[in-house]
Amino acid sequence: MTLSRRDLLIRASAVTALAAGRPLPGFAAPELPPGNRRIKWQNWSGGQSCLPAARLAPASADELAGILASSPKPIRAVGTGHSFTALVPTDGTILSLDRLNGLIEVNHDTLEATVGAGSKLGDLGPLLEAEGQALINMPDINRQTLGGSIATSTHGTGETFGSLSTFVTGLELVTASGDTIWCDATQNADIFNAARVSLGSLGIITKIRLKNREPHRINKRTWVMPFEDMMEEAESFAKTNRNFEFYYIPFSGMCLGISHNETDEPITPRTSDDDDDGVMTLKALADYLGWSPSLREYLIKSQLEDLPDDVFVDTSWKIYPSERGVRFNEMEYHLPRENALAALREIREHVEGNNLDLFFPWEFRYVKSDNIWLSPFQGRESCSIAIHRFYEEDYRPLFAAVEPILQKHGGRPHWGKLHTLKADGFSNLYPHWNEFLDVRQSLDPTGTFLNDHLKEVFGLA
Amino acid sequence: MRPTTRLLHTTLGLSLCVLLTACGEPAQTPEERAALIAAAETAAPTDPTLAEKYERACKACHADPENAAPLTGDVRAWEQRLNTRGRAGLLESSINGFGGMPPLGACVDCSADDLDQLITFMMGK
Repeated sequence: MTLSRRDLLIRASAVTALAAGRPLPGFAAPELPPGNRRIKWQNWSGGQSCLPAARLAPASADELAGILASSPKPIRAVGTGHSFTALVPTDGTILSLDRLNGLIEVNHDTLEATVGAGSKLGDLGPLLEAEGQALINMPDINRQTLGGSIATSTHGTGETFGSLSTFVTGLELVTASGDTIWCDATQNADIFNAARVSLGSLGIITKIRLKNREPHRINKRTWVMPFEDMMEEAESFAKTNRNFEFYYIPFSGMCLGISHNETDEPITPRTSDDDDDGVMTLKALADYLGWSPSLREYLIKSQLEDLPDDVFVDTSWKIYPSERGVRFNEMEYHLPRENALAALREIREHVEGNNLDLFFPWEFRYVKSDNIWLSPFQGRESCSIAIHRFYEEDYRPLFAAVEPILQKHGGRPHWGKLHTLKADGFSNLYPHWNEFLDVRQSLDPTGTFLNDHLKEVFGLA
Repeated sequence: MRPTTRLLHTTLGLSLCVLLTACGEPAQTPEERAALIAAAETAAPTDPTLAEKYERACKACHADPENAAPLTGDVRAWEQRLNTRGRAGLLESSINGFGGMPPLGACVDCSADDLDQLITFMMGK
């Protein structure tokens, strides 16, 4: 039988059986039209799920206030489900801001734009471009909502760029009591410092004002380089490119460097950017040659080392994002920049020395420091190390092996990616931890927005 | 995760890739493709409630020719998926997510009936 590539992907991504639609005890029946079965919510990887009493998408602030007053609690705002941690699961209400999207106000003088928090990053590109603006930097997935992105301090790469939360110059928050609060650097400044990275725990963020820049073109270059050479040159690449990141392909000794730089060059046709095929090839190699790390390394290395650079040019909002067809679970820690390369080397030695089972490339990125209370980049220049695990495989043994190394080097976990840290650990890592908890307590004293995961994170379980 | 590992796929393990590249997508003429793209860009359900959900949750991917998702109205592409997964399987894919598509097709407030009707619409039925 001949298997097509798509067949293989389909089989690899075969859906799992649905959980039985049995109502959870203690909650009212969902308000669904007759004839509809109750269906679960789950995140993109399938690692988190719940059977909420209600799934709602308000179209106005008034409708939102009504939901906050009467819907089953806890109420958790959801974006597009790209967080791997249990930020969303609730037996109460899942609230989508999908209908609160788009441009609300544009300031051409300051290059700022206020947008609905439910706007997806991918939709903001053309909307802003029509107004002569563009996001200052972008992550490598554009499916997320802006609200979800800033809730977890989602970031791209580049030593001169902070996370998306650092581009926020003001935001509107609807609290558990139904009050609407605008905050920025001068108005409700404490709430602003807390809300720019707040895990959806302070209220529902409905509007976000962004500092932007002029539209621009980007030249993207991808090249292959041996691991040891990358260890020597990564810092130099970070300093001399607008954006620089690299991937290490486990059991290969080889890295893929990626740079983005502004250019006036004409747009070049984008070749297929189907990373998923490459990932599935790595999986096949791990499946067939996992018994022989040296043969696996020889095969990958010998085919990669003479590859020419891959270069193309496009508008910024088109060039940063990539497709994600192969699902995975992910752990990512943000480390003090001065420790990060040593940590990556140590992870490689541990994983390959013990022939741990994995095939997804590891991602290494640079992020500028900021002063947002719960930002993992608060007060220090950082590098991020991300480890992925195919969604059908048990991620726990691998992540349990890697996490102590990331923590030993001073890492703070990405809020949306898997980790085992609890409140006492966070309080040691974040100088403004208690200030944040005070603001949260004052805005939501009854825990309207706290699910089980957040209670553990904040030490309220 | 964005490793541009297609570089690797392009060059590595050709014998493995022989198995993986006998892709089942039938050829389309450029004219056919252009017509499908044009039709997908303007298609919308007649029911206004469903149209609103399609517009905000489905269209971004299913009317984007650069996306891996089948285009709205591309009957042949949908039939391939129908033959592989069946009608119930397509609904389960929309509920659980599939490939790059998030669970519930990113329509958090959609009911199972909504999703079913949206699939029917996008299949061009």
